[in-house]
Amino acid sequence: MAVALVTGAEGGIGRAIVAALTEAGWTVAGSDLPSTAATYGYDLRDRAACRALVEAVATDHGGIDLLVNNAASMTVVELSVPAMARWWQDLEVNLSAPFRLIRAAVEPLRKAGGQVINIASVSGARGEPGFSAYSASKAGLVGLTKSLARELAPDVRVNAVAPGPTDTSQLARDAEYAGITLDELRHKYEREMPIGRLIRPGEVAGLVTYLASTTGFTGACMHLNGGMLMP
Amino acid sequence: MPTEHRVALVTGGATGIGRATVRALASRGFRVAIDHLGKETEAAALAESVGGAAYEADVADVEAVDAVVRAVEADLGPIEIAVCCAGFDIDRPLEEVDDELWDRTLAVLLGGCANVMAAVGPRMRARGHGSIVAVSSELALTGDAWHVHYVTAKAAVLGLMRTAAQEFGADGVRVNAVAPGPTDTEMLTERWRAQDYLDSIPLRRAGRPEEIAEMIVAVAESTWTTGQVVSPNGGVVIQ
Repeated sequence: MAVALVTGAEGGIGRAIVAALTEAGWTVAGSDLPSTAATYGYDLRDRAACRALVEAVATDHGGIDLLVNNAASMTVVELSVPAMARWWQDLEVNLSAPFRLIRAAVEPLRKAGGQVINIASVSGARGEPGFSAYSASKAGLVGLTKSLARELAPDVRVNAVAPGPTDTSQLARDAEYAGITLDELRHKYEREMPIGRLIRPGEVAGLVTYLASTTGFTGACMHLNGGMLMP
Repeated sequence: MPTEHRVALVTGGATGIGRATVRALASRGFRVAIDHLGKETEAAALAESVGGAAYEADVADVEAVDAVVRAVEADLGPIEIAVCCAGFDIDRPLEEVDDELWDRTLAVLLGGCANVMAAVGPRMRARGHGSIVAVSSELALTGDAWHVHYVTAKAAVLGLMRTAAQEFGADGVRVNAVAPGPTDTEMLTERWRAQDYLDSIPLRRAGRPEEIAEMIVAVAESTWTTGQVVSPNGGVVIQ
């Protein structure tokens, strides 16, 4: 059975991806912070952890066919000199960890003719006030996707999914930054999204599962945002 | 403090696209602060030829960037245009991109832009005007093999720029990116100089640094432009 490693498996979108891939017949190895219930408890900010995670999953399951880089950090941080010490946190989790995971997994992925799916964000493509590091990390992830799609072809396909505002617990933090209530933020997004509602985690998972099942895409960034941005 | 002239800061200003940008700004009457790293001779000669001033700071170090910004504003006056041009480029396959190269590439290419925005942005916002141009790359739009560290950083610059444009806009500060195609500078590596490659470009040649500099200055001066990626690339990317 094909093996998928999904990071951030205990988050809102992560759980949906794990469920959808399992439903589609994948053997799913879910990883998340050691403090969570995830089978593979690794803190991806710890550099050695990326390689250790890949080795553990490859050893336990005999290989890796699919790596879903879903773990993410979204921190409010202003662009000012004193704030720059905190600026790199999101970059570490959202951009450097995917890079290190792919680098560590490239051999099993090549062997399997496998695939990487990176979870990007509409924020990378349109910016997000208050979240410059997050936006940078997600835009960078699309550049990484395209570059590795070229470099690892034809053995390994590399794609990205860029969701718009998704109905997860992250919304509450965004509302806090914006200084508005959760309901007010929902309404704001609903007005910005032609479909008139937030993206559901299951819709992101559905797209990930579709990409995992098909072979013609590489270097694609699939925007799933209810029409919020039409790039 | 002299105020009869306009002041610009160019990081990576001693060579390549940065140097051409320094000259383009100077020809429009700017006093230009040239930030460099280890290029004292080139920076001093350029500063003398354009009536500017040279400063040395590693753009990866926000405190050093802040110190230069402070010094420039004391020496020349308030910075009206900042161009983030400092960079370096090494081709390397994924498996050989070690943590050191990855970190340094992000720190210089992405951090170099973020640190300038962090240092100069609040000053410009307080004054109610200013313009920042981050130099990205056409490769950020297309991706590129054996180059994941470089392209990732250059693509990340675009997300940073899009956010900074929104955060700074209400205070009259514009932020844009210029994403050049292959440009004939010291940094252009061999594979981009091959005739086969050049023949594949719709305009059949690499760009000249002066052409990129003209675009950078035009974008910097365009008062209704913010949050944009402008890519002078000879048609390498058509979209």
